[in-house]
Formats: sequence, C-alpha cells, structure tokens
Amino acid sequence: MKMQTKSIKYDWYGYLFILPFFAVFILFSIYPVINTFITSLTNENLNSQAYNFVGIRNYIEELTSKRSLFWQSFLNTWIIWLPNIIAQLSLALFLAFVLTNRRLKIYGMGLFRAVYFFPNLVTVTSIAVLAYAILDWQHGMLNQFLFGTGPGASDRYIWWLNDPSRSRMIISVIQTWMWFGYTMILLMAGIQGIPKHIIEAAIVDGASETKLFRFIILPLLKPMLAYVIITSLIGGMNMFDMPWVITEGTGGADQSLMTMAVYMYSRAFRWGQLGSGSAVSFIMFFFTAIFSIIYLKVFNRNTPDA
Amino acid sequence: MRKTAVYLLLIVLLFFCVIPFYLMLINMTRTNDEINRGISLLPGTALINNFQNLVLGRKDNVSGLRWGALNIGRGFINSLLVAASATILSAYFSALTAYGFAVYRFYGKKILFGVILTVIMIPNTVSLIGIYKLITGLGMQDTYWPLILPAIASPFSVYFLRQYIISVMPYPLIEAARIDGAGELKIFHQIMLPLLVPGIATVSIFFFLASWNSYLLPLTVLNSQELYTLPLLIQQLNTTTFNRDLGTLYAGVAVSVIPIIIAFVFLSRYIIQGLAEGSIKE
Repeated sequence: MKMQTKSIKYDWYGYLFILPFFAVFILFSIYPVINTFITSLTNENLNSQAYNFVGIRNYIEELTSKRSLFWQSFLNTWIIWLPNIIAQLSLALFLAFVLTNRRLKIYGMGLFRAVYFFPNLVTVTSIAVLAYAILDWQHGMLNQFLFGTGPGASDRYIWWLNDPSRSRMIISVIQTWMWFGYTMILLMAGIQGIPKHIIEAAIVDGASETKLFRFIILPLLKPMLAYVIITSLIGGMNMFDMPWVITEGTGGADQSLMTMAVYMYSRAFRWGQLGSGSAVSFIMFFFTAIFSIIYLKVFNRNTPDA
Repeated sequence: MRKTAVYLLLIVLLFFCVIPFYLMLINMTRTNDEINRGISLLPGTALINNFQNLVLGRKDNVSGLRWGALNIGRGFINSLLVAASATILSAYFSALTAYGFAVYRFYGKKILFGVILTVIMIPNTVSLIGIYKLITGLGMQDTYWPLILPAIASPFSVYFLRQYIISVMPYPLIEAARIDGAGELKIFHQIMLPLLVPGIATVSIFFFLASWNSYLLPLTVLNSQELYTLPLLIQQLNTTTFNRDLGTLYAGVAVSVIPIIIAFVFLSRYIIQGLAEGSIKE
C-alpha cells in the first residue's frame, strides 16, 4: 500500500492489465446473461430465424400452464438436494470434529481425508455411467451383492431406477457420497482456523466433547457452514450432469429425475424452444437467489456477532 | 471403546469410497459373462479383449466384422488439448488481471472487483442459451474456441491469485526495477510471474480438473463425434450398444478415471491444501 502513493503515473497500467479479462468477461459472461434474458421475452425457436417479442408470456406459461413441467422439476431438484445436504453436512461435521480432535488422536487423518475427497474429483459423467452399471436391474453389482446370483435369485432383483422416489433417493445418496469429503475438508480447515487458546481453555475448564462441539466449535464454524450451504444450494439447484446421463436425457421414471437444469436444457435444445428455455433458466436463477438471500438473512439474525 | 467405534465408521466410509472404483478396475479385466455371473474381487483375463471391443468395436459373430467402436483415445487427446489450452490461458491472464488489481490504484477498481466476486456465484445455466446464441453468431459452433477462450476470464483464479500476490508482493524490488527503467509489463513477466508459480500451480490444478470434467458446455457446443471430449464419449457408453458388454463399459469408464487416480496420488496434498486455503480466505 505504501508504494501506491508514489506510483500515480503508473496507475493507468491497472486498466491495461485487467483489459483482456474484462473484454472476454463481457463477451462470454455478461452478454450471454443479458442475451438469455432478452431471449426469454421472445418465442424464438432453435430452427427458425423469425421470432416475436411476447413479453412475459413464457414466464407465465412456465409457472402456471398445466403442460409446463417447471414445478415438478423444481420439486424434484429440492427432493434430491435437501436430503443430500442434511446427510452430507451431518457426516462432514462429525468427521471434521473427530479428525481434528486432539483428545481422540485419530491416526491416518491424511489418508482418510484424501480418500473421502477422491470421488469428488472424478468426472460426473463417469460416476453416472458407473452408477448406472452398478444399479442395473438384471446385471448390476448391487443386486448381485444383495441377492446373489444363484438360481431364482434374479426374481428378487430390484429395478432401482424404475421407481420415482427411489430414483431421487439414489441420486441424493450419490451426491452425498461425492461431496461429504469435500465438505469435511472445508470444515476441518474452519476448525483448524479457530484460535487454539479458545479450544484449550474449554478443555482446561473440563468441557465434554459434546459441549466443546455444541458451544465452541459449532458457533465459530457458522461462516464456513454458510459458505458450504450456499455453494451447495447453487450447485444443487443447477444439477444437470448426473440426472441427464443416468436417464440418457429422458428425465427417468415419471420424470422423477428431471431437475430444473435438465428441464431447461430439454426445453431449449431437445424441444427447440429457446424462448421458453431462457425463461426457465431465469426462473431458476431467481429462486436460487431468493433462497440464498433468505438463508443468509435467517442465518445473520441468529448470530448478531458474526 | 468410543475410539474403536470411530475407527470402525472411518474404515466403513473408506470402503464405500474405494470399492466402486476397485470393482470398476476388476471388471474391466473380466468378460461380460463373468461379470453377469457375480462379483469378484480378483481380476480376470479379458483386459485386452475389452479394450479391443472398446476401441475397434465388437466383433459380429456372423459377419466377423467389428462395429460400434468408441474412439476413446481420440476423446482423451481432445480433452487433454482443450483442458491444457484453457488452463494455460487461465493461468496467464488470471495472474495478469490479479496483478492489475493488487498493485495499481485506479478509478472503479472496487466496483470491478466486486463484479468479479458476484459473478463467481452465478451458475452457468443462466447464460447457457445466451452462450449458444453467441457462438452460433460468431460461427464458433462445433469448434473448441467456446471451450477455451472464456478461460481468459476466470473469476475464481483472479480472486485466489490476488490474495496470493498481496501476500508475496516484493514492493522494494518493484520500486528498484522501476528506477532502473524497466517497463510495467517487463516487471510483471520477469519479477512477479516467477514468484507466483506456486499460487498459479494451485489454481491451475483446480482449473484443469474443472475443464477436464466439464460436460454441459461441450454437450451444447460440439456436434461432431471426432471433436467429442472424454465425458461426451463416456456418456455414450450408457447406450444399449455397450450395455450388453459390461466389461467394455467398465474399461471405458476406467480410461476416464485412471488418469485422475494417478494425478491424485501425486497431487492430493496440494489439492487438499489449495481447497482449504481457497475457502479460508473468504
């Protein structure tokens, strides 16, 4: 900072250094968002040049029409995301607490941390194809494991992805499996960032593990929890790869795996209605923003000191 | 007692994280019949045969011709080409932008940086149709440009590197170089860039992985099979052609997973450290 007062004549270089970034940023990030919004006000089609402005008709259609699958995709997305974030966060909190606990002294922390995180790095499409093969009704390893392969065993095989609620639950479990290690690493970093004397003081005062967790660690982890929940919410509301690949783009049994993003993509690129698809993407964006803001508001009210 | 229960849980979770990948590696060495007969923890002998089926196509019993090949090697090279080019662009231009924000004081700097922080939070589904229309307009449909060029503007990398620059900034060295008459770009290239290598390496690992795993944008942009990146080819394993030959399917998935396993063995320390640092600095 000291240097900056002496360098007035150099300061215009700042614009030069950030120019390439902003040129590309405006072209590939800002303009497409505006372009999508403008498209959402038209009846533009994938295969024809001509289109008209129709105002907010696409929005009204998507939100109120009986033919629209928006609300179903909205519910599907939440039914997949919500159990996943609860399971993922509980598991990650417990593991982060246990692995950073100096009274418990768990060996092999580095190994556990690395292996738990690994599924997160693997391409989602590969996980989806792998899951598809493992869950396959007739030849999948899960049925073979549960019911064996002897004569008559196949009568008891379960068609995992044939039932709507079960399909959503399976995706939810896979998401938890993919993300609990990632979340655990962030929470461990959060716990390790708590000043040591606070935790030591609590231990000297004879706080039990439960009390240490409940009254010291959990309140101090709140900013990190907010970060994890908001980023997971944004990712979860926009989930596309897994349900798209596992259902080969069909949306699965009774459209149960048609998430909002799959619906948006189908509307725009399968059914060719760019206008309606754009409206869906803005409705999605609107809801994600609203839920993030509500969460942050509620969260800040409970922690006036944070 | 309590400690035993904790270890038990930790090991069960370890098992759940490893076993799907372990069985994938085992099954890529087994024939379809063997896989249908049940789970095995030991490898079979069909590894080469499965890869032949994958790359050359499966042999038709009647005509003896191979068909339904999936050019996974090509996909691998395509993915590597796209991810590497994008990562290099992102690394250089993010460092440049971060340096601009960290070192100079100019009008509108706070607002512009605020814009970057906001955009990190905006999901790519909001702009997807706009991007599609843009690249169709620019004639970039079915090319790699839309997958590579946007890397010049990587908000997260800029955010991360700006923090990094502030922590390693050699102010006296820069002053001295200015007095010696070195230009600003030269200072950036010769003094700053070498100091930034560890930070650039960290962000680049994440950027490369994100690009390597990217699916939605390539799906929207690419039409020709020969340009397909690995995730687009892997997805085709899910169709009925390969469904009847599970050994080949597992071999295909393994091609996409093995490089990540190898990279992770060498880089896990940096990846996990970078992850923790990136979030702590919020």
